[in-house]
Amino acid sequence: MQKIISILVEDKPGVLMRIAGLFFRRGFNIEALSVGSTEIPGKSRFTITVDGDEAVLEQVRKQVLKLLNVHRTAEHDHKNSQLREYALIKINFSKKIKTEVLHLVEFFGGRVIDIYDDAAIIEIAEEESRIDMLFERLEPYGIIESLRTGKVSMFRGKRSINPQR
Amino acid sequence: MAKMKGADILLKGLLDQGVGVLFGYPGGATLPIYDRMDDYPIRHILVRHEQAAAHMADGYARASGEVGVCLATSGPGATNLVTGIATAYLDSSPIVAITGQVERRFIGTDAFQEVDIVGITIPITKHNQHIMTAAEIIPALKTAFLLAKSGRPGPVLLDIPRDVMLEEAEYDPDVEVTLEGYNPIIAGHGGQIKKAASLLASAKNPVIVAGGGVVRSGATSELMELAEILGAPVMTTLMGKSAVPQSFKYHIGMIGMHGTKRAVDTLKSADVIFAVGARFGDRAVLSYEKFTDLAKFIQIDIDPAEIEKTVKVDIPIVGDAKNVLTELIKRLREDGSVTERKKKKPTRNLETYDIDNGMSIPAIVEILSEMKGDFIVTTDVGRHQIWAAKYYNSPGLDRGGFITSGGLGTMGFGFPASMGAKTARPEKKVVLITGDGSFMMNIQELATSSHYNIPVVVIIMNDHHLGMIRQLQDTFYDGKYMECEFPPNVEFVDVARGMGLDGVKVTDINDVKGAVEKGLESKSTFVIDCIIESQENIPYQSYDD
Repeated sequence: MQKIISILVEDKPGVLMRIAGLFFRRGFNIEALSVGSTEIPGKSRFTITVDGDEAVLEQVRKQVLKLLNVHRTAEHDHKNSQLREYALIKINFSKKIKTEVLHLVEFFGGRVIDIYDDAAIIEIAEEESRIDMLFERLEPYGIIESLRTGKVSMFRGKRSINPQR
Repeated sequence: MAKMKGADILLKGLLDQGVGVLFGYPGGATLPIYDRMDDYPIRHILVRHEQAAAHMADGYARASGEVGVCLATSGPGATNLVTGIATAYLDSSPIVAITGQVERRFIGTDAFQEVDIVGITIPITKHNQHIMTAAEIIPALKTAFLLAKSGRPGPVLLDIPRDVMLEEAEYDPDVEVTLEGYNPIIAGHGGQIKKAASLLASAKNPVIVAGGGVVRSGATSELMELAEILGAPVMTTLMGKSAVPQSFKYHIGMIGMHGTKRAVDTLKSADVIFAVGARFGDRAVLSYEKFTDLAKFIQIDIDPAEIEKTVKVDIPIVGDAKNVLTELIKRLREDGSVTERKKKKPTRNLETYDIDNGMSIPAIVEILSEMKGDFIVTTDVGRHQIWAAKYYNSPGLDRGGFITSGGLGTMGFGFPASMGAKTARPEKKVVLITGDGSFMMNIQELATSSHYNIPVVVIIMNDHHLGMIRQLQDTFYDGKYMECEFPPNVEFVDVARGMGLDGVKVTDINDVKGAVEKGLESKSTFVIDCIIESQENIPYQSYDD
């Protein structure tokens, strides 16, 4: 079972190592991890996709909150949050297939961002299932390489990971 | 506010935190600190191995409730602290470890005596950090000491590059430190306490389990009061042994794998189990599945992550033991619903060892117990440790008076921890129950003991074996004994004499008491080498009939 947890941390050297290490030694399975800055200077936000059930997520949350540099956590699901993901996919490209590829990519909500040397790079920022579908439809053209960031997520409405005023 | 060297700021900062003694061993990276040390009224105990410095700081912390401090140099000095830090971590003991580090410009270059001690100790510290400028020293110290002793106590490590100790900065003792990510919960949730109170009031067979958290929180009288109100038997985990006086009329012994049969049976017949300050490690619980089925379970712990970490809990209460128990008792008294007829008669039942088979470990522990002393008892790890936990029941054993490595089970902990305890409580006598295997691991500290005259009565249960290994091989490997026996080639008393101390070898059970009395009278460490004949195994407990 996949669970999504956001973790708001102080951006200090080694925080990534502390969090990753904690997951590792407690046996929490990280399926994907994304981290970057927020609107608050000095604060970063992790989004981690964990493989486990409610009990595991509860332990993850409690253990993570014990780290001094961790300030807040949030747990996301389809009902309370937007779940998004970003991917880059590079496929073989030629003038012959140009039109059909462009239509395909547009249909799934992606964009071709680069065409060079008989290869095209496609980006897509969408929900997981649409990204999966695009991958499937691009397979026949030959995927040279790809990457996915893993899910990032945010509560819908005014609720946020920041402390309520 | 004067400008001064990082080393001075560090030493002043330690004094500001109330530190009176450092357990340490110098090295290249910490020379700047040592250079300034004699300008400050801080005592330094020079150990003979850094591991002992960490254990001493730990023993000091356990005996005093204050933060113990150890100091080591970079590289091998720091790595030698690791076992001691992990020991303190698993038993939630407040220590601050300070390590020297190579100069900032050399970090990450595999310099001489460089090691990423922060990286290495992340999993075994409550928190750790590099101090990268002299201005960071005071805030880091304040943070370290606050974290070490508040909430769930634990070790904190500070790694200081050599050039930071030489760098100058303002000494600002009033600098404010706010820890946004740290909010230990002390007071329990009112609603949960109310729920717990009603469950306990209506329980037919409530039992109380006291763990190390009761000792740490100083909640002995509250726990005893609760037992009185409920008429409930009290049992302890290994770390909770000194949570209540051994003479307490509701005390029925230790639970767990090597506990008393009475305690385990009582647990089985309970309808409500009330656990305070116990994390329910695998040794205490025996079987996680069976434990959950036993009864309704109320758990009080200061660390929210310990609630339901392993065992399902019906009523969890996060908070400090003393605090929560006080509130709970208030509730129960207000309620008045615990009627007299529900209360059981006092049921004190601590097992005693009555078998007469000469020089055996439990027999010696029994003799020691019968002396009814008020000394601090420390142990090492192994069979002797469990025999001591089972049969040392002196009414003089006060809160925190039984010091043992429960979580990590570190052999070699005992002797340095004893010296740390003695340093913290010089008015108390300290008696160490150890094994020949364990004592050998930090035997070099006899020199430290002799150097500073820190007296410990050392009782070596010398059965020429790694007793617990032998027992495990006996029970689980069909008696195939592998690498668990020592030839009798070490004369511990001669070794002690060789380091300026004294002792006696005991081969007759009738000579034990006299030897201990002699040790207690001695002004320096006295090593009693008890030659054990019996290889009696400690009985295992289980939930099955």
